[in-house]
Amino acid sequence: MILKNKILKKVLHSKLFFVLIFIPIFVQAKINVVTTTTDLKSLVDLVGQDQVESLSIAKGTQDPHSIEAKPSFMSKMRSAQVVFAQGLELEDAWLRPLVEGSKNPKIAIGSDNFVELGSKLDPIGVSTKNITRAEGDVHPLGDPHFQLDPIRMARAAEIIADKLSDLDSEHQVLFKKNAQELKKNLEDKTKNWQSRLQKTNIKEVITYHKSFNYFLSRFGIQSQLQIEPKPGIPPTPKHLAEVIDHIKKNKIRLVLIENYFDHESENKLKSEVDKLNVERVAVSVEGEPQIKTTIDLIEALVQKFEKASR
Amino acid sequence: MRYPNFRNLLLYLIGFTFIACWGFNFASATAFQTLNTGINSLFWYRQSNYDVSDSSTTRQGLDIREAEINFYSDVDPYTKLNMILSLHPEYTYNSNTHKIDSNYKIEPEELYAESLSFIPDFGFKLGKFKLPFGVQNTVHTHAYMLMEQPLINKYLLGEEGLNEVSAQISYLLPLSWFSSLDINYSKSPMESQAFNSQKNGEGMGLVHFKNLWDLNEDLSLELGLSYANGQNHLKSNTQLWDIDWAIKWRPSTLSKYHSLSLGGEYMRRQKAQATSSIEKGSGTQTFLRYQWVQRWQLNYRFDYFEMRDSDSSINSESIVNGVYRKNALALDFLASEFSQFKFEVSQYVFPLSEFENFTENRYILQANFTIGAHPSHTY
Repeated sequence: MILKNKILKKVLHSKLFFVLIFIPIFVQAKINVVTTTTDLKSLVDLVGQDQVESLSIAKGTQDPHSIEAKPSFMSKMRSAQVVFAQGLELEDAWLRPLVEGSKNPKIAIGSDNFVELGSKLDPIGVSTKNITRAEGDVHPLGDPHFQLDPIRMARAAEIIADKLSDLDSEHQVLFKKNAQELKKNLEDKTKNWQSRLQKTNIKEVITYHKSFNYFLSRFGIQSQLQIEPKPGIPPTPKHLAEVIDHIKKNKIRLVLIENYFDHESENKLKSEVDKLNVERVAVSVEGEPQIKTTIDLIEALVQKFEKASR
Repeated sequence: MRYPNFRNLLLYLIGFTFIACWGFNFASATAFQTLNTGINSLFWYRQSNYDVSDSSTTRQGLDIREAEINFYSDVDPYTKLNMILSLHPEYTYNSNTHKIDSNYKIEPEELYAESLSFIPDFGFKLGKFKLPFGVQNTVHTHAYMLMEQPLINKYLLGEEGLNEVSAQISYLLPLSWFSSLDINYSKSPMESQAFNSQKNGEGMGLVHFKNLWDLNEDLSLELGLSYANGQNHLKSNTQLWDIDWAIKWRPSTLSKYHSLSLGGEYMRRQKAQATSSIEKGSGTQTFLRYQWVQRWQLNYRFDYFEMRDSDSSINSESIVNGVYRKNALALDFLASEFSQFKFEVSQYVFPLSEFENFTENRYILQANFTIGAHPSHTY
């Protein structure tokens, strides 16, 4: 007992004890961020740099519509300080069970730290009439696939910087500076991509799902038809025949297929239409190993247009 | 339970449809969803060589299996309220007219309030809800892997499972893997045959411990333990034990097209029968689900169940002693997330008495349609 008391006194009087107790007060912890997609994770990493610890639930190779609410994500989200989601019902089927399962009041749905970006970015495709699921798996509040629009991604980076600043005001200047740099880079690159895409003279493409609408709208390219007959519905032979007919009639040179869809339609189109460029492309950061940022992602897409125009 | 006549049924349906349409329109018109609604309906066609007489209450051929009407909404920043109503046909043999009377029955499947994480790591639930015991008990009919629940659930927990008025506290353990502990208290009288004590104020306690490890990005391992203890209608004690496991694989690339689940469960019940011997029931289920393209998947389950020392002279809810075995194979076609079709063939060998077995061969075709809010992508 005497020995125990002596040891306790020594420990309490040692400098090491006070250092260990007070270190956490002086060392600023990183902001723990969860994003629903790798595109938002990439923005968070660029804006927050070494002041954030980020995790994306969907991988770049996965269709963000069809993620499962795996309980291991609940454990990873229990210490999150903020959630960034694309919103507009993209993650509706899996994000709510994950947030609720994390039992983390900081990121509760509807709270300030649960940030859905889509609705803040002037979404396209907002339904102005009553629609039903007879039209497929539609998003009446607007198209959630804004990750392929460099200008909206720049705006998203600014919103992320504002939120990170709320959580860590000490690094506010850093976050805002990083967001501004990213915005300038994306704006400069957009001018470059615009000019290169105009030179390709490609006015219309076919896509599998409506994932490219923001990109196509930004750069003035049309897409009248998708390989999916309706959003979320796999192609039927009849619909594929219509697509092939449309490609032939309108001399379309490029078909873009998100790389999380299988090869069946790609093979069919290649076998039916000569010299057609059917490209499987990443539509999210980390969709391919070399795609690390939004700039890499859109650059890779622009290169597919250039390849198809040769 | 009330058995509404046709007029009442019509009024119920009109009322539900009105509320559902109002809720859906409201939800669609704004991002801020005040009331979410969903209706799930199951239709089936079944043929079996068991109990085929005209007086049988198990009807063959085409029928409505069940409709579930689901309402849920956040009450305030602290609480969410859920209500699920079940509408299903019920057939009874009328011994006076020697005819089968058919009625539709509406009952609350679940009605509970749930906390919205106002205390970190803890969750609370209060009301009537499916209790977290084993793999299957919390699953609703439309989400069954095979047409029916496993034999261990049917015989050891009862046809309706453990679905009681209860209070639940959940704790998410601060570990590097998913680890969750649920503790429940349910009050009597309960619907479950395992804990149907009639004594006023008596209750049942239940503990469920669930873990999930990510073995790599594509593969996970689940392990669950459950235990429940309470009184039965014979004023004696019932204990339930369960251990379950599952390995699930879904690749990171082309993940919409391929997945595999393999799992199993062992459940055991000891039900004291007053002055008689202790009834002992136990069994296993082993299941496999394989998805090889976007819209098709195959499900297989083998059920084994064994009952010993069930005493029909003292126990009005006794189960025929013997061994029960069932093989079931189902093919799913997932037209969309909102409509699915299942075709199942099964063979079920069970004791009619302690001296005679019966082999039931059955096939069922089921259609499942959902409207309203997007169904959750549960793992």
